[in-house]
Amino acid sequence: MDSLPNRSLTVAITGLAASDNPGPGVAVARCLREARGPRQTLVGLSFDHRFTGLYATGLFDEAFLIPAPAYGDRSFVQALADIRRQTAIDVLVPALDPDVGLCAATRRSLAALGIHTLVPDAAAIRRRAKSVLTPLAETVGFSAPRTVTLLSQTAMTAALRDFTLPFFLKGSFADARLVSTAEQAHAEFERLVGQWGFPLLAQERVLGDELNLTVLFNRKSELVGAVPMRKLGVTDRGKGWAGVTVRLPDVVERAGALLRSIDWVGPAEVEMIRDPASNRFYLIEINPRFPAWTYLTAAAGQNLPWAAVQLAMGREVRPFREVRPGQLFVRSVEDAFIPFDQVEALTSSRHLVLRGR
Amino acid sequence: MDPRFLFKEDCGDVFTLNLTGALVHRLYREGAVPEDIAQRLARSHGISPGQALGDVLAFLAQVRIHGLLAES
Amino acid sequence: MSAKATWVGITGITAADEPSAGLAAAQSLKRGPGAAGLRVLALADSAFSDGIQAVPAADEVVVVPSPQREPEAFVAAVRELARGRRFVLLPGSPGDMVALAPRRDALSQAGVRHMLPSPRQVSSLPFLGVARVAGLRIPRGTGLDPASVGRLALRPQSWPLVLRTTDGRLASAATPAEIPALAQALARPWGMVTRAHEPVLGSEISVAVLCGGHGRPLGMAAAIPLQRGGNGALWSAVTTADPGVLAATRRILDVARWTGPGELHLIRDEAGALWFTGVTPGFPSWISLAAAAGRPLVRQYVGLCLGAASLLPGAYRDGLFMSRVAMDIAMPITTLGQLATEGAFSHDTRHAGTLRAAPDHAARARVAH
Repeated sequence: MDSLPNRSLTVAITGLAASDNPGPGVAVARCLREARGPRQTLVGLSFDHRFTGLYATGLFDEAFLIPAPAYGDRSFVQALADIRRQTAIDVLVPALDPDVGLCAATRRSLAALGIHTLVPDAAAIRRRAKSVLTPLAETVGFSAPRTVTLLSQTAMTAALRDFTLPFFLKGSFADARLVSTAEQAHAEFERLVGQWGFPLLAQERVLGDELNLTVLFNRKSELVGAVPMRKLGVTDRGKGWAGVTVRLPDVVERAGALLRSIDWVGPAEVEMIRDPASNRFYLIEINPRFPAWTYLTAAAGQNLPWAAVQLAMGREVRPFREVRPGQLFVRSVEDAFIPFDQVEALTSSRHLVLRGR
Repeated sequence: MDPRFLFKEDCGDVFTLNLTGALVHRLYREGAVPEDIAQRLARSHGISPGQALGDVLAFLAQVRIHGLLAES
Repeated sequence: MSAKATWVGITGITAADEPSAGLAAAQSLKRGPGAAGLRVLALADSAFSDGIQAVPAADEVVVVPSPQREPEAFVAAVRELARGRRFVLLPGSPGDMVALAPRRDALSQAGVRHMLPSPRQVSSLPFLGVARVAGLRIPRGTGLDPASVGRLALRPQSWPLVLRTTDGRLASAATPAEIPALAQALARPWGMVTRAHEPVLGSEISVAVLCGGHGRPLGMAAAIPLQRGGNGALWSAVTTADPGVLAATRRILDVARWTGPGELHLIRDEAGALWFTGVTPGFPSWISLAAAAGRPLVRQYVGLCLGAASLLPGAYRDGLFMSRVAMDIAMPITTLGQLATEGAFSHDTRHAGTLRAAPDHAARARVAH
């Protein structure tokens, strides 16, 4: 429990890619900047100095380069221990799927460094995996698209017989491609296996309105906040560039019950498709972290990143009751300018002070 | 001015109405019957009452399909 | 609205996953010197796509016919907007520049101030001749039209092959099988892949230029593109004051006799030689970096259109890095509603109602979804 509930905190955030497929980190940071209360110190953590979100004007006070998640738990903890010699981090908000797993696996080590997190345990993360969503969805009356796990080329060939084109090929952690021909399916299969390994997933395509929920659970797996959003604009790569908040109390309740049943803690994004003809809701995916459109939650009256930081520190947060429907987000860009020698300094010293720039 | 943009909070659908549609929508929600609405349109636009009534009924059918009669 | 304000109409303001030159131009005008006397008017061709994307960047947004699909109707709409105002037009995408170049006389007669290149410059620039006279090499390759892209895979040649568009976006094909998908990813309604050439190992260099008549350079700024998205859009760049680049640029502009804004594409190879790979009409999408580095070329364009004397170039900041950051802007859905129903939106409620699309005379009720 935080003994100084009103003090300013130092919050580290990952997921700072901010180009055509942005991560959630910039949105999380902006929500924290706009929250009431004392100004937080925000620290950007990235494994790639090219992630443009690191340099957003007026957003981060410091930036550190850390090893990529693939380097594993020990490298992750060691990097944070090294950072602690310069900057004491109070809360770490992991904004990429692998980072959530790292935090779950190393929570005791992080606690020893004085770093608080709000993440589910490894078992809960596994229980919302794509390959096991169908039975989970049905427990609360959601539908789920037909999904088959692929463990071999033979399975891929069988999927081409069993699924109607187009259908989705997905990596088990990330990446999804809509394949429209057999040739494309084989090419994407090779690429996904090469990048993510087995298993892959073949999933039928469901047509309808894309509806996503950002939710936040406290350490007792109680729902603290939920903001539903209907996508209005999608890029060629399927990324949302515009969306509007909607009022869907029944869907929120069912999604909440689903995640409570797997003892969820922390933020999540529930991706769904609503078939307008039948009004059925198909559960597509549950991401174990804030989504890229998280900034909209603050505009809708529920600053969920702020709430997550309070909960991570053991502070109490009363559940949000209302969501403002009809709040629209549009993805724009802001250009930030910095002397290039400072970028070069980040790559050599792995640390950059941005405050006051 | 009659509202010409409608947003359904429960699903995020958005609709635009032209000036005439917005007028018909408002009058119907205020309790006017289609025949009276059609008479008003016929007078203001110089068209036959029969044509106006056909337009009004076709429009109201669309509005019902989209569930817009409860919108403000 | 002050009678002395200058309206700058900018087309093609898009963000999402392809931030345009129009967007960067609007942002650099609103944040640069003299912003108080300018009103940035986004000219969108749809409320639901570029219209709503332009809301954060402009003072007002008006929905007008597309310059590329309905150029005559666009000219008519802009004539109405320019009536009684000091109005400068800046096409914010290469496609819009190409579409409006043949209408530059009509725009001038409509009271719209601009610096558009000639139709010949945007459609049939003698690429090889310009390079030869300017003393620059060009990568060995072939010009393409949409029909020949497909046949490219069948021709014997060395790999990888660089596919390049008119506006400088590029992709590298390692095998013939990759060509169709890459060409499709690079394609735009106004232009396809225009050249396939051997790769040149080195650094791409982009030069933003503003020319008076007959290739007289009035402003230049060079940068090295760094990070590009999958569709070729630029996400980071760093300025360079390479004197060899600037000298080569002057030679090219002189030979090409360029007018107005443009982007030159060069490569400095590992041996230090410069190669020329094309010219794109219009400012590049990193034009905001030029302003931050001391070359406010968009502001200069506006001033020149109004008859101001050409500015003496100030010091250009070498080594300034631009990081383009995707950011969501929140607004009520009624903003979209206003754009969709009234064809216009203004951040300044005092002036809401001063700019409107054509009135709706439809007698039939209609629901548009």
